[in-house]
Amino acid sequence: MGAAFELTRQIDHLLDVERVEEARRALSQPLSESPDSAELLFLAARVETVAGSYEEAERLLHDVLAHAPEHDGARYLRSELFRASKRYPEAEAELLGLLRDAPASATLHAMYAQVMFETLHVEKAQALVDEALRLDPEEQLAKLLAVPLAISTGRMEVAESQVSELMRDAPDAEAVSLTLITYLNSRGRNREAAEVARGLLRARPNEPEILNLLIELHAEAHWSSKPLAPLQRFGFGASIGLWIGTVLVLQGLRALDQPELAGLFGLTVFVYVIYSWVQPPLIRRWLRRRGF
Amino acid sequence: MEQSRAGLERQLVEDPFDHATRAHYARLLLDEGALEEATRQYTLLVKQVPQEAAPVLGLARCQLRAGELNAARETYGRARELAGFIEDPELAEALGGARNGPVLKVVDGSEAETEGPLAEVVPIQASGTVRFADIVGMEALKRTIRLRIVEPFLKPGLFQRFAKKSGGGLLLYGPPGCGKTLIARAIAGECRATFISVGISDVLNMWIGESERNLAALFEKARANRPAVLFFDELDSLAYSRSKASNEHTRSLVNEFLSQLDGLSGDNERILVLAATNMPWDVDGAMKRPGRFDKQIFVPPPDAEARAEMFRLKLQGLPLGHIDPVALARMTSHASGADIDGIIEEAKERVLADIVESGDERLLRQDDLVGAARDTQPSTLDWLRTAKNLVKYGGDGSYKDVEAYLKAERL
Repeated sequence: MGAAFELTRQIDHLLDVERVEEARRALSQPLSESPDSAELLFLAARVETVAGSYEEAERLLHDVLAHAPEHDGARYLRSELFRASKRYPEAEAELLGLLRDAPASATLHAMYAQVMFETLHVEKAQALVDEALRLDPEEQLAKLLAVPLAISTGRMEVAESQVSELMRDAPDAEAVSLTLITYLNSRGRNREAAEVARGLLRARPNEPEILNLLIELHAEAHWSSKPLAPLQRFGFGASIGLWIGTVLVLQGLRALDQPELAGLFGLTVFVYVIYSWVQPPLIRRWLRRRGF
Repeated sequence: MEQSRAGLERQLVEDPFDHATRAHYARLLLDEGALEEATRQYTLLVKQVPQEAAPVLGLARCQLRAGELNAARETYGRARELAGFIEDPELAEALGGARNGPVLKVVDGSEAETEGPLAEVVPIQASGTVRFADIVGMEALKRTIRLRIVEPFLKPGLFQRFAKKSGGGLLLYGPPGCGKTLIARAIAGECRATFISVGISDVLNMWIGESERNLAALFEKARANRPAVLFFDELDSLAYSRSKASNEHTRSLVNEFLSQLDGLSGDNERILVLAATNMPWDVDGAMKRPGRFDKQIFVPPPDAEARAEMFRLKLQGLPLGHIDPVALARMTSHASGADIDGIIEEAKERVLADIVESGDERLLRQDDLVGAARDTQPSTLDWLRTAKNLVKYGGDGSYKDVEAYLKAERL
């Protein structure tokens, strides 16, 4: 405890308020005095992770683990770094190692579930989330993951109850807002989802991902997107349905010897298809230019 | 390889802008105890590479050895803000706990206090007092501040008779390098009040509860020095939005700040609380409620007139050819004061490089400045783009001034 613990608190605060340079400065003196301290190297790795210098962070974590191979914090962070840089097999291997040492850790199960979800292993991710919530019903990451997993498997009532619970626990947390957006979007409530995204943008106006998300939601909620609602809602399924339906109707009309109707129908479908290709980028560009 | 003093002097005669050699030479002089000469060399080096911390640190060492503690403290504080700063244990120890924040400094020639809180205090009528007249341009902004802040502070009775509320704090926000801190100093000067400037390192401390205690002590210091202007630079680091914070320490600091602003721990009469931030969206929403930082003023990049005046002032004393500051101002839209400093430095470097290469001395010309301006991207653009996201897509009505500015500038 003592000074090391207090320094960790100070670094936590500086990273919280996005003062990476100050955090580096606060660490420089202690690190120059004890360059081999695993705890200090770990703090430095955390600072570099927040700064987005993943390679440097990884190098520092390597040093930490060379001095203290069982350093859990370093192993957790390394798995996060692997996941963030989409090196999923390495992330999985790291997490499996951690789980062997702490099989009852709900957080580790949730982290593993996140890796599985991002690699589209939905069933395995669901099983891991269930296990995490069994071990600790309050595990935040597991609760957050449960929502998109429930949506992707069509269990909307589960998604709704999880969102309600998250909103009750931490209504203003950003991760919860993002989950809520996912849920509202899946229900076709794009206008409400856009309002939540707008709140996020007000808190983080410098993040292009949030701006893109907001524009996307506004575009989907725009009146000109209404004809495309089935395609937006059901994606590829709707496209495949559209083509199969078109072929069947055209064959039916041919069988009934209605070439004019078939031509009109074919033209309508053609216009609709062109509209579905052209409208989304145009409306996004228009909204970006005009604002809202 | 160690070089002799004479050898270094010879090298400097051949190339007076060899910074590494000059730094080596200055260090040698300092080690030999030739304080006066070392000071001269470090001062020259600071002028040549003003953005680097090492020469400023060298100067602080000279001042410390000469027994000029106050000056050394100030210089050391300046070095902390510069690139490549590395904590100097000898200086930090000698200057009294400077590692966790600069020691209290009274700028009137009297004895320096060495106990916390750690902030810069400029008392009323200090010789370095800044006034609005010292700030170039920004006339509309100065008028607004005079009416909304300075006059109510100086004549509270007049405003009370018209049932106009005075008091509350003022938050200055805008892109970096556009003079927010200078305006805060000028407000203190106009209010004829003691100016207490607080930076992040004056408050943040790694020990549990110490940051909150530092904050409380700063308010106490202001109360003891009424009338006082308490100025918090980088407010977002001290009052970071609690909904975004993941750390308990961050939240407890905001709570303490709110209670101090509300005067729960003492009377804030005749204390004007000012703050500046580049990121107003990161400041906790509760800080902007009535009675706290309820007045928020946008400090935009200097306008063309102000930029022209800045060029005129900053180029004074240099060997100049024909210079057209108005044309320079026209081509440096959105440049901050700091950007203009950068442009002038870059132009000087071009002239010096030319002189060194050709061997012929020449004056600083318009085309040097034009070339430097063309190669300099205004540092305010990133900030303005972010602010544009807020007003254009965020639907946040609290940035009307920014919206008007963006419209006027067609950004």
